[in-house]
Amino acid sequence: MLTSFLLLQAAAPPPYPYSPPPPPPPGYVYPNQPGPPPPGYDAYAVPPPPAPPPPQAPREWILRFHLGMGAVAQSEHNDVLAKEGYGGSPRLLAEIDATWMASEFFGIGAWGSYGHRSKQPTNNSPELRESTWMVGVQAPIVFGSTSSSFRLMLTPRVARAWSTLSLGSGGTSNPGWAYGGDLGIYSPRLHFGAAMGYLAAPTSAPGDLGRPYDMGGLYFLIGGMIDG
Amino acid sequence: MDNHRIYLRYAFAALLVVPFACSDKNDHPGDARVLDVACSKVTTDADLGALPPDSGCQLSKVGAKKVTGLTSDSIGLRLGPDPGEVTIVVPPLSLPNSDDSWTYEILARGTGTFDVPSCFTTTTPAETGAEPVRDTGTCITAGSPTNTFEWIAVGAEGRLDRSTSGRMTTRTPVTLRVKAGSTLEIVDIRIVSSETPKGCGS
Repeated sequence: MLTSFLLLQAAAPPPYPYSPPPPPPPGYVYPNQPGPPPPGYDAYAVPPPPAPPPPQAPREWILRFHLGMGAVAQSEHNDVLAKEGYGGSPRLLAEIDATWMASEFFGIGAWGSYGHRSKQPTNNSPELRESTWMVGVQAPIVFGSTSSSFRLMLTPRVARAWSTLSLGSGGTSNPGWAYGGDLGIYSPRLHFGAAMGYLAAPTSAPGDLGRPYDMGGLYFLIGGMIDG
Repeated sequence: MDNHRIYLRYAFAALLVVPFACSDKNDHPGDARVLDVACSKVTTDADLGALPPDSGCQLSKVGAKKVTGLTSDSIGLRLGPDPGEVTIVVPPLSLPNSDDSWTYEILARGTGTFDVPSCFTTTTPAETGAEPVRDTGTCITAGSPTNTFEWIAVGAEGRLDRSTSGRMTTRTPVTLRVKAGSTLEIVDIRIVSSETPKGCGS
């Protein structure tokens, strides 16, 4: 009898709360459960790389301003001045230029510069002073994309130039043509750059007994730029 | 001490001293653009006495002209190809205390030859009161310019009496002459004073 009683107890479900809860009604949604995955979802897929920044728009214009120094070009007249003690004086330069970019890599523009030098061999000798003015056109070629940190700019130039050499009361202006160019490196983000170039500017002899003269020469420039 | 080593020491010391004992003269080129000062006053009078006492240029004959020099506001002189002559009275200039002789140099170019017809043997007393003494031991009386501008020594070499102290001054005319067919273009004149190092005989 005891055995039957024990067998009956084993077959019957355990009383609540030990019995499992009843099943939920149809359509019941357990709370705080994630929804079904979207169609095509792959848990092991590699996320796509972030989209690149949009490319910078090409520059339409560039404006530069420079200060620098230059050496006087070799000429027979400069050799005679050197024998008098007036050689070896550097030329201080200020230059500005503006370029319209016809394409991303080529432009056309205008430029102007002013140069000055002076030398006095001894305290009792008069001072030699020279002022040079140049106004002309240029056709820059730009290397490097607009989004680059640095860009190279090769700038051929032609200009009308005037030089005034004076040993006292003020000399007369000697005109001539200047031609040459420079190579510069610039940072559009820093708005800063530098350039080195050479201009040949032959002109007639200053004074009746002067010799052929060249108001150009090698030069170095540093300065700022803005573009848009 | 070994005599051989002593002799070597003396020889080494002599090698150090001898090169500096009698080196070349120390030349001191004077101020530039003296021609602008000298020829700011120009006369064509034949009388040398018409020249101002302190500075001036006298142009003689048809082949001597005053023109502009290395700049349009500086002075140059052109002689030839017709016969021409110019006398330049160099203004009073101070010479370095250490120097004891001087000579004139012109920065010139040209063709043919030119003459320096006079080597003056008298000078005006120096303003400081000391008497400069000149001799005519060296007198450059002619020259042949090249086609490029070069400094050319002309006239007499002046010697200075260094027995007195103070700065010395000098003013002595220099005359340059070209004959027909020769040319001479002068853009400047200067005085080059020299110091003879101690230990060198005159």
